[in-house]
Amino acid sequence: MTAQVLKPEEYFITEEPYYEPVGNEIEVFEAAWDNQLPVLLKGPTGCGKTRFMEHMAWRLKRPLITVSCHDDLTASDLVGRFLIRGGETVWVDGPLSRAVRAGGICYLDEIVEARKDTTVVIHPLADDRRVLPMEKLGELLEAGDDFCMAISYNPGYQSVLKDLKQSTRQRFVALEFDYPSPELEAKIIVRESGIEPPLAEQLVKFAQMTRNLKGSGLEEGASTRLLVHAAKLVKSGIDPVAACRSSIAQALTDDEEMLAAVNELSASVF
Amino acid sequence: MVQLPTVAASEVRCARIDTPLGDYELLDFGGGRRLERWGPWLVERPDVHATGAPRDANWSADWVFLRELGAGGHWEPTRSGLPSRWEASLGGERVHCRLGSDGRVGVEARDLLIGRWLRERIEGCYDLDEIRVLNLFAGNGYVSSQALAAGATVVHVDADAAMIELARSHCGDEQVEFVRENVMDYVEDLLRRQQRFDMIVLPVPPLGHGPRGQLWDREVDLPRLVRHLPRLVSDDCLGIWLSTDGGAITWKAESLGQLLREVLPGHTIEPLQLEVASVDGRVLPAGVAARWFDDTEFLQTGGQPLTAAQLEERLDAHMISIGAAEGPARALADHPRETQDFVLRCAAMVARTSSGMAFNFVAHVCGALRLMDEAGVEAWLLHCMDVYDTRGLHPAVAAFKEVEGFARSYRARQTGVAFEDVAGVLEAFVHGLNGRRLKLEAGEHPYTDSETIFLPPTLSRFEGRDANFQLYKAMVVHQWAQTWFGTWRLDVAAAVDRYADSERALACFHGLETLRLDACIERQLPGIHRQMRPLRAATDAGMDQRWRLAAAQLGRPGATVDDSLGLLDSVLDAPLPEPAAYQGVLRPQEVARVRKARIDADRQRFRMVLMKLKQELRPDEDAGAPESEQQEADGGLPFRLKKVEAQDSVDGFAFEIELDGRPVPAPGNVRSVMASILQDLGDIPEEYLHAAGDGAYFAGDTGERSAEDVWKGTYHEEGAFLYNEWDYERQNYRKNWAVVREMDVHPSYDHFVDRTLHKYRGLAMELRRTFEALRGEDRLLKKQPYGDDVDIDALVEALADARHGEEMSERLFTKLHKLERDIAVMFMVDMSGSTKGWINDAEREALALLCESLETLGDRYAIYGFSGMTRKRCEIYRVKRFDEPYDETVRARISGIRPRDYTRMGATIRHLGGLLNEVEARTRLLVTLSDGKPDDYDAYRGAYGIEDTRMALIEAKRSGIHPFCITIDTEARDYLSHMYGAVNYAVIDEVRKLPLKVSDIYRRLTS
Repeated sequence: MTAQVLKPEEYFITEEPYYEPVGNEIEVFEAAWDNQLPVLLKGPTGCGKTRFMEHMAWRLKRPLITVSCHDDLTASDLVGRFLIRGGETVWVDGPLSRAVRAGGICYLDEIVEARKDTTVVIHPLADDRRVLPMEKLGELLEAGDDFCMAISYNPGYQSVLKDLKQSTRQRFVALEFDYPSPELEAKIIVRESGIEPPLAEQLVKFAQMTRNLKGSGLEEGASTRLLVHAAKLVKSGIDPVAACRSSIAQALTDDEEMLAAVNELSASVF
Repeated sequence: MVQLPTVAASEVRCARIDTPLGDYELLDFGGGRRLERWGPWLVERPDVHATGAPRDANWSADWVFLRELGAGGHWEPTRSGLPSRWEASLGGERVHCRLGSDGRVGVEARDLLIGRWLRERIEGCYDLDEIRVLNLFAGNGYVSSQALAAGATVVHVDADAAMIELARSHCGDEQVEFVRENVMDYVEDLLRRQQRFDMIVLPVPPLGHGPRGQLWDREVDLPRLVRHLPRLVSDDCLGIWLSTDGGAITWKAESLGQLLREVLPGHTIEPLQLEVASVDGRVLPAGVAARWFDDTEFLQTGGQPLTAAQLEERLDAHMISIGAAEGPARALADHPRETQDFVLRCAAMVARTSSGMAFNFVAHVCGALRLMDEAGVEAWLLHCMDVYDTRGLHPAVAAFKEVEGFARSYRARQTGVAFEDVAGVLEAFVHGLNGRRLKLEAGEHPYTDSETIFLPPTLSRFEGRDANFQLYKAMVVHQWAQTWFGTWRLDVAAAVDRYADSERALACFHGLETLRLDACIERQLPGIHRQMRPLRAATDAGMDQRWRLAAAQLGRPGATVDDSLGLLDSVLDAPLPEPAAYQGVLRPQEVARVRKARIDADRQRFRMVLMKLKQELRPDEDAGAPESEQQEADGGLPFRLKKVEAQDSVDGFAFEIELDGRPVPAPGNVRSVMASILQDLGDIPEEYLHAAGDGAYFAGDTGERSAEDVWKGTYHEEGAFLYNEWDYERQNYRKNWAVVREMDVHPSYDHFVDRTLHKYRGLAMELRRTFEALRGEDRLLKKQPYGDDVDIDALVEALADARHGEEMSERLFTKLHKLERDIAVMFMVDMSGSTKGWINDAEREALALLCESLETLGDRYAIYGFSGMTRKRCEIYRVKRFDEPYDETVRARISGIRPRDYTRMGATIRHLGGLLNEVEARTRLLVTLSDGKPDDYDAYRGAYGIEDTRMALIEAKRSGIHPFCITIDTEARDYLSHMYGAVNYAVIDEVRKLPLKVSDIYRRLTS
C-alpha cells in the first residue's frame, strides 16, 4: 500500500476492520447512533477502543475523524481558526467542524488531556442541542443526523487536576473496555497475527503475569496490542522470548529491575 | 623528626646541550673565555669554567666582551658596521640577540635546558586545564616563551627593565604577566596574596640588584627564598627548577638538591651538572641545577616502576616510625607502576585518618595483592576502615591481618550472587507468577512459611553469576509452587508426626512433593522447568524403582498433596535420593503458625468486607435488626457463594458473591481476600458468610511507641532513619552513620502569629499583593507563528513590509500561554542553641510572614526545624508537613520553635531531601534558614562538617532539588559559596531584617 493524501472527511473505511466484541458494545453504539447520542469509551490503552471506532465507522459507513488530545489542545484547534493566506485572512475548519459538516464520526482520544476550554464546544454538541458554536465566525453549525461524537479516556491515569467532570460525563453513553477474557484474547491474537493457538495461549498467560505486576513496579500490564505485536514478530521467525523482550518488556518499563523480572517471567513461560 | 636521606654527589647527572643547535654553536673555549656563534656573528666573552687551553689560538670574533675593573664591562666590535642586535633561530624559534651590559647575549645553555624540561613537563601533563608558571630572575624571556609555547600562563619576574623589554619581544603579551620587581619582595607579595603555581623556575644569580637598589645575595637570600617555596606550589605542581652559576662560592648540584629536599621532602630530586658541548665534542661546564618533581601524580611519559628507595621515601611520609616502610617498600618494588601508584594513593588516604592504619595497610597490602585484584584490595581496605570506625584500632588491625579470609569471601562474592542484588527482581518475578503476594527475605536455609520465602544471603555454588542467579530463581519458584499448588493445604506436621521417625518421613514427603510440584511446573511454566531440570540431575539419577513409580503417579495432571501423602508409606524404606539443589527444607510448624494467623485474619476481613458491601448495597437496612426470618436464620448476612469456572486460578474455579440470587460485582479487595482463602483452604466455607456482629473489628497490634519514648528508652535506633555521612579525608561515606528521628514541635498557643501579622501589617498587605500577582496566570504572547487569534498589529506591519517589497513575516498570531506554578518548597529552620534570643524571634516572625505569602500563592510547602547532638541523635522537628493545612496547630507550632542544641546539617538535608522528593512538582526547592556553619558536639565541624553538608547538597541537586541558603552569619560568604554554590545563598546582615527579606528572596527565587 502506498502513501496517499486524503481529506479527513473523505476517509471512508472500506475494508472491515477486525473487531471481536467482548459484550454488547456494537449494539449499544448503534443504538446510541440511531438516537444521536454521543459515546464515551473508557479503558486502559491497547484494549481496542480505536479499533472499535474504526469498526463502527465501517459498519455505519461514515468517515472517521480522529483527534489525539494533548495538553495544549484548545477549542480553536478543534473548531478552526483564521489563517493568513496571500495577505487575506481565510477561515480554516478544524477537525470537529469538518466532522459536523460532513456528518461523520469525530473521535476525541484522551479528552481529559486537553484544555478546559474545549468543554465549551463539546457540551453543546454532546447534549440535545447538537450545535457547534463558531464564535469567531459568528455562526452556529447545526449537526445533521449522521454526525456522531465519541470521546475516550483512561480512568487509570486519573490525577486530581485532569479529571472528567460530571457535567461532561453525564452527557455521554459510556462503554467500558478492558482486557478480554483469556480465550477471547488468544483468539484475537491468532486472528491478527496468524500464529498457532497454543503459542497465543502462552502469550496470554504471560500477559496475565505482567498484569499482576500493575501497581507494584509496572504502571500498566501488557495490553492486547502488545501481545499482537509480539505474535507478529514470532510469526516472522523471531524466538518467542526475544519477541516478548522487545515488544512487551521494553515497551512496558525502563526500570532495570522490573525489566529483569519481566524477562524472567517471559523466559519461564516459553 | 624523621631524618631525611641527604642528596648524594653520586646522584648528580649531567644535562648537556650539544652544539651546533640551530644558529648557535660553541666553537671553542679555554683560558677563561669562550667563542660562540650566534646566527651570522661570532661573539667572545669571559667564562670562569673555561679552563684549559683553547683549541685555536686565534679567534676572529665579531664582538668581544671586555671586563673592567670592579664589575661590569662592555662590548667591543672588532670592525665597524656590526649590528648590536640581530635575530637567530634555534630549532624554529626566534631568539633576539642583544648585547647585554653584563656580557649576556642570546640565551645561555641553562635557558635551553630549562626550556626543554618545561616543555616536556607541561606538554606531558594531561590532567590540568591551566598551568601557571612562575619564572623568577627570568632574564631574556626565552624560557618564558617556551612555557607559553607549551600552553602555560607565565608570570615573568625580573628586576631589569631592559631585560623585561627583551622578554616582551620574545614572548608577546598574551598569557604572560611581566613584573619588574625585586624577586624577594615580589615573592613575599605572592605569599600574602596566597598565589600558587604549577611550575617554578629559579635560575638565581650570585648577586643582583632590585629596581630600587635592593640587594640580592645568593648566599644569604637563597635559603630564605627556597623556604618560601612550599607555600608557592600548587597541589598539582609539575616541578621546580633551581639553578645557579658563578659567584665567589661555587655551589654543588647536590647542595641545591639538599636545599629543596629540606623544604619539600618526599619527592624526586634530580641534581644536575649543566654542560655545553662544543662543535668538536669538548664539554664546557655551565652551572649546576636541581630539579624537583613528583612523578607519582600524573600521566607522564615514562611510567617506569619506582625503585624500593623511591617507594620507601614516599611511604615514609605517612609512617610514624623510622624504617617502618622499608620492608613493604621492598616488597612493592616488584610490582608494576600502576599497582605502586594505587598503593601509594590508598596509603596517603588512609594516613589522613590514622598512621597506625596506614602502617597496617602497607604491611599487608602485598599479601592482599597476591590474593585479589585491585578492586578487591580496595574493598578490603574500605572494610577495615569501617571496622576502625565502628569498633576501634585493635579490631581494625585484626581485620587487616585477616586478609585471606576476606579474599575468600570476596572471591565468593565475585562469582557468587548476593541476596540483596537479586531480591528486587525476584520479588517482582514471584509477584507476577500469581497468587498471594509473597515477600522475600534472607535466611539460613531456603524455605517458606507460606507468606515469606527465605533465601540464603549469598550463593556461590556455581562458577558464574548467571548460574547462581538461576539457582536463586529455581529456589523461589519451588517455594512459590508449594503455596500455589497446595502443599500446605494439608496439616503436614500432624501427618508426619504419625511416623516413628518423623524426620525421615518429612524428608520423604518433601521429596515426593517436589516430584509433584515439578510436574505441575512442567505443565504450566515450561520455560522455567527447562532451566530447573539440570539442577535435579543428581536426584533423578539416584532414584530407585519405588521412587520412580511414585514419580510417575505424581506426574499425572490431577495429582494433589494427598496423593503424595498416600505414597509416603511406599517409599519410606527406600533409599532417599539426593535433594535437588533448589529444594531447601520444610518447616511445617512455622507454616502452621503463620497460616493459622492468616486464616483467622482472612475470615475476619472477609466478614467485614461483606458487611461493608451490604451497607453499600442496602443502605437503608439497619445492621442490627434482621428484617426477615430468612436473615435471622442465616445469622444476618444475605449473601450466597456461587462456584464459577476460572481458568487462571489453580483449582480451576473461583467464587462469585450473590445477593438475593443476583450476582454482585466484587470489588478488588473482596476478590483478593477470597483468593487468599481459596489458596489456603481450597474452598470458602459457608460459615464465613455468617455475620460476626456489629463492629467486628479484630484487635490489631498495640499502638506504636511514640518517638519520645523510643528515644528515651533503650531502643536507640528503632524507628529512626539512618543516613550515610561523607568523610572528605577518606573520600568515602561512613555508612549508616547518622541517626535521624522525626518529632513534632510542641505547639505554643500564644497567638504569636497573629501578633506578628499585626506588627508587620503594612508589610503583610504588601506581600500579599505581590504574591497574588505571582499566581499562575495567562500571558498573551504576540507575534507567534501559530495561535488562536490574529495579531492585528503584526499583520499590519507584515502587510506593510510586503507592500514595500520585503519579505512578509509569518509570526502573525497571538497565543494564550498558561503560566503554571508547580513548585514545592521545603523550609529547613535552624533550631540550634546559637539561635537563642533575637535570632529565634526573627526566625519565627519570618516564618509567620512567609506562610501568609505562601498561602496566597498556593505553592506547596513544608516547614521542618532541625537540631541535634552527636551523630546518634539528630532531631528533625515537624512544624508543617506538605499535606497539612495551615491551621491553628501549625501556627502554634511555629510559635513553639525553640532553640535547642547543635547543627548537624548533612543528615538533615538528606532526610528532608528524601521527603521533598516524594512530592510531585516540577520545581523543588530546599531553603535553609540558618545562623551559621554546621557544627556538632563530636567532630562534625570545620572542614569535615562543611564537606559533608556540601556532599549532601550535591546529592540533593542530583535528585532534582534546588538548594538555597538564607543566613545571618556575616562570615558566611567563605563557606557558603563552597557548599551551596556561588549564587544559591543570601546573607542578611541584620537579624531584624530577616522577616522582610525572606519573603522577598522567595519571590525572586521562584518567579
